[in-house]
Amino acid sequence: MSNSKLYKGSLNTIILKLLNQHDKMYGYEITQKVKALTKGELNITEGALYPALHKLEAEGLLDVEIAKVDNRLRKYYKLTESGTKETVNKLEELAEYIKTMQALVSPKLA
Amino acid sequence: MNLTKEHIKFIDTYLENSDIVYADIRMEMVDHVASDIEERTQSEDIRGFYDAFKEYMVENKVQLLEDNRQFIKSADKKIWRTLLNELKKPITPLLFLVLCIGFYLLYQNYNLETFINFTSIIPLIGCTGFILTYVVYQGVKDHKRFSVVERLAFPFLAFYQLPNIFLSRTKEINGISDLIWLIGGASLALTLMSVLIIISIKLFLRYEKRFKSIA
Repeated sequence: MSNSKLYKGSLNTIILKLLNQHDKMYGYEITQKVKALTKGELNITEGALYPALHKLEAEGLLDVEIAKVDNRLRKYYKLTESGTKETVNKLEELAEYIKTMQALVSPKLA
Repeated sequence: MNLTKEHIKFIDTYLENSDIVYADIRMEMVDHVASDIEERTQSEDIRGFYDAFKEYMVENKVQLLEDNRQFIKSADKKIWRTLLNELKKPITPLLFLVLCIGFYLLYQNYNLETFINFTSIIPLIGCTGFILTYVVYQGVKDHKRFSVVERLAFPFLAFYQLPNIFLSRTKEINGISDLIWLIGGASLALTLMSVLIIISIKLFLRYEKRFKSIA
């Protein structure tokens, strides 16, 4: 992941936001979607993505569905009801964080 | 190009031979690797599956093995988090209280030796729980190895040792503090083991349902 330290704290929010926009997604799809949306700037590695997905699942924010696709099994992740609520909170937190950072680094824009 | 069953089997066997032993972890990795290979064969000038596979592994094998360790850590965290959530339920302190009262009545109505004999079979209860939930599931049913299911052995092993800590301190009861120590310790050990057996059954059922197709 480029600028990994800066993005690391926002990984859960990124995942939740993407899943909020799509009914369900699988790991590889998430990495590709993030890569496409950021024009290759942000490259989420499996080592960062899957532990985050599993943590969110264990916290009850994500639900899992397994389906057979193209000769193999695929694990899809989707938001639970509490995951949808948490997405709203996380996005608000992130917006607040961006606003604060903007005020610090470029006061004219804030 | 979409990968064939043989290609998928090849990736699965390769990962298994690379010490990625748990089927649930491998399942997600196989899909990830296969998706990447499909992408490579579609978008790049790659000759075929084996070339793309080789290229992928040269670039990512170290990361895959690291991911395996991360997956296992996640499985351990999942167990302890599930255990903690179960312990927070009101039934747990209630069970602990009932056991305390039960042990106190046992001490009151029988002699100390009977009481200590009874508490010393607590590890056996843990062992039985472990055998019923773990060995039977993994061995007799001959299922594939699943991370959370297999890693449950560690808390079982830890709790199984717990009563020994309490029993080793008290060979005879001198005063109320020794009695509280022994009753509290035995009740705590039995409560933890009961909760562990409950979450084991829950996790086994959840895994069985989820991974029915590969079990």
